[in-house]
Amino acid sequence: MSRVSPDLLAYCCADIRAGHATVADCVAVHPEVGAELAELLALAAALTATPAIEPRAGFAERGRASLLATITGPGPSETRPWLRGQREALASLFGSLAMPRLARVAATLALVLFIMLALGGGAVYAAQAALPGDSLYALKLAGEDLRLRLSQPDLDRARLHLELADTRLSELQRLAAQNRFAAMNDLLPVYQEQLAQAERHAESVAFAGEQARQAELALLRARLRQQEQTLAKLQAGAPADVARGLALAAARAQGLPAVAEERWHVGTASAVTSGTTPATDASLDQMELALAGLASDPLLPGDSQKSLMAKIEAARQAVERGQSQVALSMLDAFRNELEAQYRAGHLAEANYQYLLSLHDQSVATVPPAAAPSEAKPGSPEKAATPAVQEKPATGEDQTPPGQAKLPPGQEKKQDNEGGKGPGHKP
Amino acid sequence: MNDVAQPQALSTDEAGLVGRAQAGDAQAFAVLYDVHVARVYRYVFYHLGNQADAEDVSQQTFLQAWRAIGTYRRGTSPFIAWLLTIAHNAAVSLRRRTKDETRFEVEPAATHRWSDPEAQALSKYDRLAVRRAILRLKPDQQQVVLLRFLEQLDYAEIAAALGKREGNIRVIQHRALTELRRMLASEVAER
Repeated sequence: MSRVSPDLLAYCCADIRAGHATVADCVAVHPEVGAELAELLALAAALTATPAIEPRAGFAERGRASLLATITGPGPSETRPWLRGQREALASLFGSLAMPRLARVAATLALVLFIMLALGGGAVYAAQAALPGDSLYALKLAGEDLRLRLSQPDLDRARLHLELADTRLSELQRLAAQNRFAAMNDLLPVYQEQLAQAERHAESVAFAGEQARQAELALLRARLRQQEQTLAKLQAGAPADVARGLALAAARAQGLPAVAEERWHVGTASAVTSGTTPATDASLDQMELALAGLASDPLLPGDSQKSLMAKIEAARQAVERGQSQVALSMLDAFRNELEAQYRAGHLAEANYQYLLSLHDQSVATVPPAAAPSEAKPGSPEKAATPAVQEKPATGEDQTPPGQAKLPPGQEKKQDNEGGKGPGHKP
Repeated sequence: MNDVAQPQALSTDEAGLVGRAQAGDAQAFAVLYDVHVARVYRYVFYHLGNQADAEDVSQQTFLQAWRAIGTYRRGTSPFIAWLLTIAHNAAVSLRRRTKDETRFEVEPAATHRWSDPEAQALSKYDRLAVRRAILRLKPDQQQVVLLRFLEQLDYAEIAAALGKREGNIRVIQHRALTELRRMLASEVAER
C-alpha cells in the first residue's frame, strides 16, 4: 500500500514541473515517505521527458490538403496520402476543392479523356507500366484515383485497395530489379497505406451468407499470402534498411486476414437485403468502368464491348429481381465471351486478367439463391426452373446456369458445337 | 489558376477559430489542424509505434473532430485536450481490432526519432519499456498519464476533457504511477 497520498504526489509533480522545487526538495519536506516519493517522482520525470517524435516531412501539408478536400466535399472520408498530390492537381485544374463528388468524378474523367485524346490511348496503356519517378506515373495514379472515387464503400473499396497494393508490390519488384532501393523505401509506406485503407474499408462488411463470407476470406488469404511471399523474396536481395521495411510490410499483410475475419460478418444490415447488394453492385460497376476504359482500345471491336456491357447490365437486373441463378448465368456468359475475345487476340493479357478478376469478384458477391420452397410465388426460381429458360433483359443468349467451367480451348469447341457461344443468335 | 479560397485574415485566437469551425468554416479548421497535428501525431505514434498507423489515425482524428465539432464546448477544456481524447479512442479502437500486437512495437526505422540519448542517459528507465508498461495500464490510467506527462496538460484541463473531477484525476495518476513502478520493477527483476 502506497504511503504517498495522491494529492502529495500531484502537488510535488506540479511544483517540479513549474520549476518551484526539485525532487530532492520534495523528499526533504516529506521524509516520512521519502524513498517512495523519490521513486514516483523519478518515474514522473522520466515520463515527462518527451520523446522526439515528429511526423515525416510533408505529412502535415499533405494531410491538411487531404483534410480540406474531404471536409469541403460531401463524399465519405478518405485518407490517401499517395494520391493527395493528384487530387490537389485535379482540384486546381477544375477550380475548387469543394466541387460535388459527381462533379469531381466527371472532372477527373474529363481530364483522363483529355489526356487520352491528347496523347493517344497508348499513353494510358503505357502509364500502367510507369514507375515512381516516371513522367506517366501521375497519370497512372490519376486513373487509380478515378477508380477509387467511383467505387462504393466497404467491400468494393477494400478489394480495390488490395488490388492497388498488388500494383505497388509489382512496382517494388521492378524497382528492386533496377536496384532503386531508395525509391523502394519511399514506396513501401504507400503499399502499407493501401493495406491500412483496405482494413479500414473492411470495417462493416456484411455478407448475405456464410458461404459468401468464406469465399471472400479465401480470396483475401490467397491474395495476401502471395503478397507476403513476394515481399519475402524481395527481402533476400535488399539492403538492411529496405529489408526491415519489407519485413514490416509483410507483417502487416499477414495480419490483415485475421482483421477481416473478425469484422466481416453474415449480417442483416441493409447491405445484405434482397435485391442488388452494394457489393455486387459495386463489383458490376467496376466491370462496367473497366470496359468503358477499353473504349479506346483499337483491338476490341465495338460490338464486343457493347455485348459484354449488356451482359453486365443483365446480371445487374437479375440480381435486382432476386434471380441469382440468372445473374450467375449472365456472368458465365460474360466470362465465355471475354475468353473468346482474348483467344482471338482482341484483348491484351493485362486487361483480360483484370476483367477476369472483376468477374470473379462479382460472382462471389452475388447473393445465394433462395431455396425453391422459399421463393416468391411467380418467381422463375420457384420450381428450380433452369434460369436459362428465362429471357434475359438484353434478349441475348446465355450460358446455362451451373455449367461446369472448361478450359478455354474446350469451351470454344463446345461453343461451336452447341451453338451457345457468346454472341450466338438463335 | 488555383481558385481555392484562401484564409481570410484568420485570427490566431483559438477560441475564435473553433467558433468559426463550428459555424462550418473549413479554412479555420485547417488552421487548427496546422496548430495541433504534430501533437496529435506524437500522441498517436506513442500508442501505435508505426508511421502508417499513426498517420492514418491522426487523419481520422481530425476528420472525426470536424464531424463532431458542434459537440465541443468552448471554454470547458482546451481544444487540444478534446482532440487528444478523440485520438486516444481512435488509437485504442485500432489496437483492439488488431490481434497482432507485434504490429504496434515501435518500428526500427522510428527509433532514431524515438530516443533522446541525452534524456535517456539521465533516466534509469528505458523509454521503450516505459511505453510498453503504459500501454498495459487500464485505459483511464493510460489516458491520464499520457495527457499529463506526454502532453503536459494540467489537472484541471484533463479533468475537463475527461468529464471528471480534478481529485479523480490525481487519484488516477497516483494509481497509474504506482502501477507503472511495479511493472517496471518486475521487468527489471526478470532480466
